[in-house]
Amino acid sequence: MTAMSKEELAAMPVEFKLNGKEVVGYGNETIIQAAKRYGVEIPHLCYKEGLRPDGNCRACMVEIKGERVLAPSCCRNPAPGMEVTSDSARALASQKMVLELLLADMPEERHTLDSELDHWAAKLKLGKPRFAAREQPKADLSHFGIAVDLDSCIQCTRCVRACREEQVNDVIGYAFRGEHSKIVFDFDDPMGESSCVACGECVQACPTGALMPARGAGLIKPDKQVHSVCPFCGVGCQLTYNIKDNKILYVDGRDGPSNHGRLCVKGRYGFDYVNHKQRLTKPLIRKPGAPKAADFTMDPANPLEHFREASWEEALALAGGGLKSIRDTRGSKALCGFGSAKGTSEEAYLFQKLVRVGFGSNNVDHCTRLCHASSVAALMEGVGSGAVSNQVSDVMHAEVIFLIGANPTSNHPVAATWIKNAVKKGAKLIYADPRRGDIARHAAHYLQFKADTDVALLNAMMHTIVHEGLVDKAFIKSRTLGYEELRKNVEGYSPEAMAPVCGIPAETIRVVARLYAKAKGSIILWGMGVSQHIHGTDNARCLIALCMMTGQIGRPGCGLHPLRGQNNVQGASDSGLIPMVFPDYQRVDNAEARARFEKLWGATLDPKPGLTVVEIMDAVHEGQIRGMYIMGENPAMSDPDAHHARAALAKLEHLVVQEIFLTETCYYADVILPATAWPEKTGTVTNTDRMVQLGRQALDAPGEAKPDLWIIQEIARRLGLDWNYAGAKEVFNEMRLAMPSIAGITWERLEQESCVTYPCENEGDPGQPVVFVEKFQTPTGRAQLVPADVIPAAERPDREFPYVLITGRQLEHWHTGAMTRRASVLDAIEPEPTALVHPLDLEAIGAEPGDVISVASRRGVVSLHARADDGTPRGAVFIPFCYYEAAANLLTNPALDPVGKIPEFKYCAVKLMKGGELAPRSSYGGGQTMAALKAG
Amino acid sequence: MKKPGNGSSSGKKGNTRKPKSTNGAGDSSSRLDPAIARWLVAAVAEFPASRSSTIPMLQSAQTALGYLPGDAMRAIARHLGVAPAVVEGVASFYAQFRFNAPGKHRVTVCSGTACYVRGSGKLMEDIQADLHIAPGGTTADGSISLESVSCFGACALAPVVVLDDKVLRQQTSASMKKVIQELSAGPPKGRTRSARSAPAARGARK
Repeated sequence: MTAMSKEELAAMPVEFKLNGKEVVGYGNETIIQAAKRYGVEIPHLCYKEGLRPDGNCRACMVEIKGERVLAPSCCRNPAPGMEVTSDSARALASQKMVLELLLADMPEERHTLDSELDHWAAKLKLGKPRFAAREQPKADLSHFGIAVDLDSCIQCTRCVRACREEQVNDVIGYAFRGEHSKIVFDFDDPMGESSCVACGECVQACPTGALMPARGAGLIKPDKQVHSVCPFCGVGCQLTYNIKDNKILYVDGRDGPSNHGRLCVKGRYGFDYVNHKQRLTKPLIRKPGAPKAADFTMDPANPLEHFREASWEEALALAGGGLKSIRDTRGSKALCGFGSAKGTSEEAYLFQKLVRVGFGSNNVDHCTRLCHASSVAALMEGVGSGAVSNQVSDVMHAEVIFLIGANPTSNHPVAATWIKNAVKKGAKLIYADPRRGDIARHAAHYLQFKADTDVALLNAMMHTIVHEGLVDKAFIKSRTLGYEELRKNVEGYSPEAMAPVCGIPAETIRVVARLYAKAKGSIILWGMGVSQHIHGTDNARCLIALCMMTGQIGRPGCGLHPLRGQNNVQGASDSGLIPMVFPDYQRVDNAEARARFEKLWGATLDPKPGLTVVEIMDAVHEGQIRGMYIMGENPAMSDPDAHHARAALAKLEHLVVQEIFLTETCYYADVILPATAWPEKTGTVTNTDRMVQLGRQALDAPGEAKPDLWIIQEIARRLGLDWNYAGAKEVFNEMRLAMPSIAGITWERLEQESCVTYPCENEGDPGQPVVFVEKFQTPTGRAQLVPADVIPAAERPDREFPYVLITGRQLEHWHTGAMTRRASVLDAIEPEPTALVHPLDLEAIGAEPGDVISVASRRGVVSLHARADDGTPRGAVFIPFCYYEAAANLLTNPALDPVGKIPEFKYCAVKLMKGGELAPRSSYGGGQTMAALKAG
Repeated sequence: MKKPGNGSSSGKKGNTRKPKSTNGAGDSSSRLDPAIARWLVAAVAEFPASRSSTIPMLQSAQTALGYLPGDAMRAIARHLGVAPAVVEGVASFYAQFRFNAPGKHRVTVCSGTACYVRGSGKLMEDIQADLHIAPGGTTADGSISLESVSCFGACALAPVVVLDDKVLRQQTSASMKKVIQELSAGPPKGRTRSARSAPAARGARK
């Protein structure tokens, strides 16, 4: 028999007495937890399940036989034979006194409807407190999302622990002394001016309403609560909407498997876009004579300037009829469709089916092409599956976390909290990114390598691993193919040779390579810094090879995890919103797969892979593609070389856009169909962890806006398809027939559990959080190692354009900003476009932080405010791509990775100049929604 | 609302205010006040980057700068890799740390038991009224800082006021009014020779 570990010993059952009854607790739980299980209520305030017990409020004192003093039950573990009393006169007197003292300090008017202090005071039948109140601190209403009313604060430090230990944002502290002690933000700054990232975890933790959603949202009793999933990033946090009169009052984090109650600023404060006055509520038809040109703009607040309202019947007849006539006169290949990773998987599935069956080609794609197409290409080739091998939460089991080309504190904030938690627990973080994100603070090794040199850095790491004998020979022999070629290839990439290329000292490369290879478990997480290059596939191939040669896969706490960007990019890709594959990545040029889908769908299918996002735009310019149906995508903002993309959209004979706002893409539409926002519909989304989660309808759609599934079917009807899906459930059931990976997931189970991880091939399967345990999904069952050589970016800086432009996202804004720039809090925090430049580079062009600068590439120029940021490397500028007024994609280079067909968003040559003329302000953004709210 | 000039790669606000290079004296030290920069360069070399250096580093800053300017506290948080709020928490807990530049002269009123029964409470109130500042504050012209101390240990001389390092015995509101008037008018010779001014005075004689 093996010896028991400390943890196992601590988890052993313990028999003890609670209020005279024999009970069984566990050595690793506290008395208050055991009591709760037995239905014994002990008052508590500073204790909250999930947070470290602190024992500071003393409301949970209990008597333990044989002990001189009372003990806080939130901090004590039961011991065998212990006799605990929580309701003796002595314990009660103590509990009541604590509550009464705190109650005396509470303001007349509470800031919350459910103060835990009031709850316990009522339970213990406390009357009016006998003590004088303290001098009350003033309210701090400096933050757009959070109201700070320290008159209700009981100094329980739940917010401090939520901020510092749970989310590890390190903003809230506890300062001053004695009666003056209070919580502070940074250096006792007003919250709105502190480094607070508004994750709202402190609000969720506060028991008394001292921290609350701003503008009294917490003082209204909701009509109903609806459990759903966050519509922003790929982490897939579960949440609960609190709704009153068809409006979301506020949002709470829910205990889902990927977030355990945590949210970020977008998931908590980013929902009032659904009520924005610019929502599309009626079908719109372009007026005759409304110009179509790349630089045509219009005011989203005033659609009737260039469009007229129409009935659904008329709009659908025009939308569907236009597509049908192009198909019938120009052929299937003259049409294409862009679906969206922001909709549900059912919508994605139906949309690609419409294109494949109704249009008759595979010209269907979506924004996965722009984010992780290269990662997916490399993964399909290497391991036979485009999804992650291990879930984000596995970082908690890893010894080493290798994070490259990602800025999770901005883009996957809740995933970042798990990484930070893992580091606090002892894991070593190796962080490699040309831009220093905030998470660098937690890294054991931060490698600020030169942009575009990923392959050099990774090959040098592999060189070290080969030369120091750190490879896993048994794994390579039994589970991989192509190691010899890989080994020979990395021979040419010694750390010494690569150090000047990637800018990281050879010894550092060796140290991190050893760390990665030797750890019991090393997990790799990567983002778009890896994928959005013309060598994005090669970058990902290197990561796969690194993982395989060291056998860091197939167990908890290791593996490969491309952090997926959008809430449903995994689900939309799985559902076949990709030109070369049917649902579940079954290739369209595979006759067997095609036969299966022809049988399922009762139609003849095109055996030729379709065109990708950027190729489609080129095909429009070449006159091949004449008509397009876009559901929820915004290529006018998200495509590289946006002017080229906009010109393509303008050139189309027929463009149908299904949207919730008049986006920049709608400017070129012939018909605009008003659709539903995420909280207004039901359907599934699949997060970065392969978790299929159910989003539930919480609100009624405004005006005549219709569910997307309904719209797709109406278009299908007008193309001669007789589809009659009653709702998401019916579509999902068909998807189960088409996709073996989710065949075992029933709709009923989703309704019950909200989340099921795939692969789940048979009903009742628990789902597999870790895959590739025994074999890979390639035809051979082995991982294919593919060597990669250094390929420089398509457009390098030169004398005329000496800087590198890096594009990406900001914490507060989502994708092209259509939603978040209309969400009051998010827009108020980040109201306008900025360019992030190193302070010394700013000095070099003679500009001060806050000055207007112009950034120009060979394709365009934008003017915007400069922000000093010493996390951006010298010689580079970072511009978020969500601002129409200074659209970063007017500058980017449409050069493509040859395999993944992903454009090089992370690298093009630009020049910086002081000065320039700012574009006129739009009718949304710029803090206007918040200003209107505050004005009432 | 985020000002365009401030911020960082991660969206955290105010990071030009709170620089985050790992090497303590990063690029932004060039924009620091020269006195703070001088102290910072020496302090970063002297104190290991661990949480246990918090108090020694705060003390070092106060010794060098006379008080704890915000930039110095930020630099300490950054060098030690701890949350700014932690540095704030520690510094604000101890009475020894001050957050405003001290006045040229320091007036410390004893509030110990003996002084209190001899009227130091009223004395303090009157001094506050004369100076228009609260204990811990400094007059607008920067001439006088007012502080209180719990017991100076000179109970026989109660009520005691300490002016810089000179003990003033058995003070009254009237006598203090006079002292304050003289201080505001400029240091009369020989009256306020303090430890701080002494070396300067010696230097002047040479």
